[in-house]
Amino acid sequence: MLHEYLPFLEGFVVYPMWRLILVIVSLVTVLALFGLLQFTRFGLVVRAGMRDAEMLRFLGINIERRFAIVFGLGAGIAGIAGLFGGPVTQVYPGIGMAYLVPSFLVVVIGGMGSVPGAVIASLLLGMALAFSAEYSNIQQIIIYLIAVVVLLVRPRGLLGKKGVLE
Amino acid sequence: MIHEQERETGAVRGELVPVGIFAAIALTMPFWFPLIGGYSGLDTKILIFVIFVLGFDLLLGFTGYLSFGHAAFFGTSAYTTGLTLLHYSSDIIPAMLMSILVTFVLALLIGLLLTKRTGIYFAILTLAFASMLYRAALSIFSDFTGGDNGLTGLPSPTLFGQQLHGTAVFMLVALFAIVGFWIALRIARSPFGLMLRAIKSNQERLAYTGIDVSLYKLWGFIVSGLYGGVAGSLMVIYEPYVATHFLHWTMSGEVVIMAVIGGVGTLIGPMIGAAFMMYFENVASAWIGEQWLLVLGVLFVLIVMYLPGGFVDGARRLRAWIRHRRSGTDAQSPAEKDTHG
Repeated sequence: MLHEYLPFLEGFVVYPMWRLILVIVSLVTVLALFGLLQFTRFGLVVRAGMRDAEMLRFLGINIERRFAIVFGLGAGIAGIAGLFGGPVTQVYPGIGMAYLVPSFLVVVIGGMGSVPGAVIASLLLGMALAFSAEYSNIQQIIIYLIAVVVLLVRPRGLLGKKGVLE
Repeated sequence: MIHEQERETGAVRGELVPVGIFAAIALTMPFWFPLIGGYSGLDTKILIFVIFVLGFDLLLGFTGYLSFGHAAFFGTSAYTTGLTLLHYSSDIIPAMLMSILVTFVLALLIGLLLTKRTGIYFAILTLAFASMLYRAALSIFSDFTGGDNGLTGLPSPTLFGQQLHGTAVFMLVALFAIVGFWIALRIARSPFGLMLRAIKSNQERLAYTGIDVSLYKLWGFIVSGLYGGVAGSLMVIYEPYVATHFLHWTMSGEVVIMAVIGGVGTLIGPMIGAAFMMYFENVASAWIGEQWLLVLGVLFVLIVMYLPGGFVDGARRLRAWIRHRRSGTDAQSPAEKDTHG
C-alpha cells in the first residue's frame, strides 16, 4: 500500500508498529497467564479446584476467593485485549457482543481448562477467518463450521481435560 | 375400579384444572390485558413466547440440557413459514405443516450429532449451529431470505380463504398455546417425562439399567425444538415479516432468561417469565425510559443470585413464610409440592 506513494520503500516490508506491539503484548500475556496457572502454588490450587472444588473445601482452602480472583484476572485480560485491540478495529458500544460468541468458541474448541488449547484454537480461528476473506460467504460461517467439526471429532476440544464443566 | 376412579380424579386435578385455568387466563386476555397497559397484539406475542419457552423448558428444566441455540428452530421455522406463504400459498396450513416438518428434520439432524454431548459442550455446539444458520441466512442464502432486510413483502396469511387479523390470529395462537401447555403437562406426567427427569438427575445410572438414554434425549430435543418451530411459525402468521433476529443468538438468550426468571423445571414458571419479559420489554420500558435494559439486567442478576428457583420459588417461599407466620412458633417445613404441574 505504502509502496505506491513511496517507491523507495520497495523491498522493505512495511508493518504497522502498533500491530507489532500487539503481538508482543499478547505473547507476554499468554505466557504470564500460562506461567501463573502452571508453575505457581496459586495456579495449582485453582487447577485442583477445577477438578474437584468440594475436595479443596474439605482441605480448608478458600476456593471461592481464588475463583473470584481468577474471574477478575479473566476480566482484566479481556480489558488488555480491548485496550490493545481497540485501535486496530472499530470501537462501538456493542463491540463486546461481536467478540463474545467467537471467544466462547475459542475456549471450547481449545478445550475447557487448557491455556495452550485456547491459544491453538484462537490461532486456528484467526487464520481461518483471514484466509477465507476472499470468499465472504464462507468467511461468515467458517468459525462455526470449525467448531462443529472439531467438537464432533474431539468431544472435549483439542486439548480439553476430562471432567471440566461437562 | 377404585383405582381407576382415583386415577381419573388425579388426572382431572392434575391436568384439567391447570389447563382450564390457563385457558381461562389466555382466552380472556384481550379483555383485561389492555387495562394494564398492554397494546393489542402484545397478548398474541406473549402467547407465542409462552409456546417457545414451554419447549425450551422441556429441554432445560426436565432433561437438564441448556440449549443456547433454540433460536435456530424458531428462526428456521419462521423463514420456512415466510417462504411458503410467499411462494406457495397464503394459506397457513401448508405453511405450518412445512415449517413443522423442516423444524423436525433440523432438530433430528442437530439432535443426532449432539446426543453424546453434555454440559457446556452441548450449549456451545447448539450455539454454533444456531449462529451458523444465522450467518448462512445472511450470506449464503441471502437470495432466498432477503439478507439483512429480513423476508419482506409476505401476503397476509389466510385460513380457508379468510384473511387472518387481530382477534382471529390471537385465537389461533391461544389455541396452540393451550394445546401446547396441555401436551407439555402430559409429557411431564408421562413415563417419557419421567425418563427425561431421570436423565437430568443421573443419566449414567439410567444407562446402567439398560435404557437407551440417547434415544430419549434425542426425542426430548426434537419435541423441544418443535415447540420452538410452532412458535416461530405463529410469529410470522401474527406479523407477516421475518426479521433476521429471529435466528440471532440474542433470541436464544431471551428465552433462557424467560425460563430462568420464571423458574426452570416447572411449566408455570417459564410461562410467567415469558409474560413478564414481554410485558417489561413493551410496557414497563415506557415508564422506566431508556434505562429499562439496565433495570432488567439488575433484576435478572438479583433473581439468579437470591432466588435461583425464579418466580415460582419466590411464590413458594412467600407461601411458606405466611404459613409460618400464621401457625406462630410451630415451625413447619414447607411441604414437598409437585411443581411439575
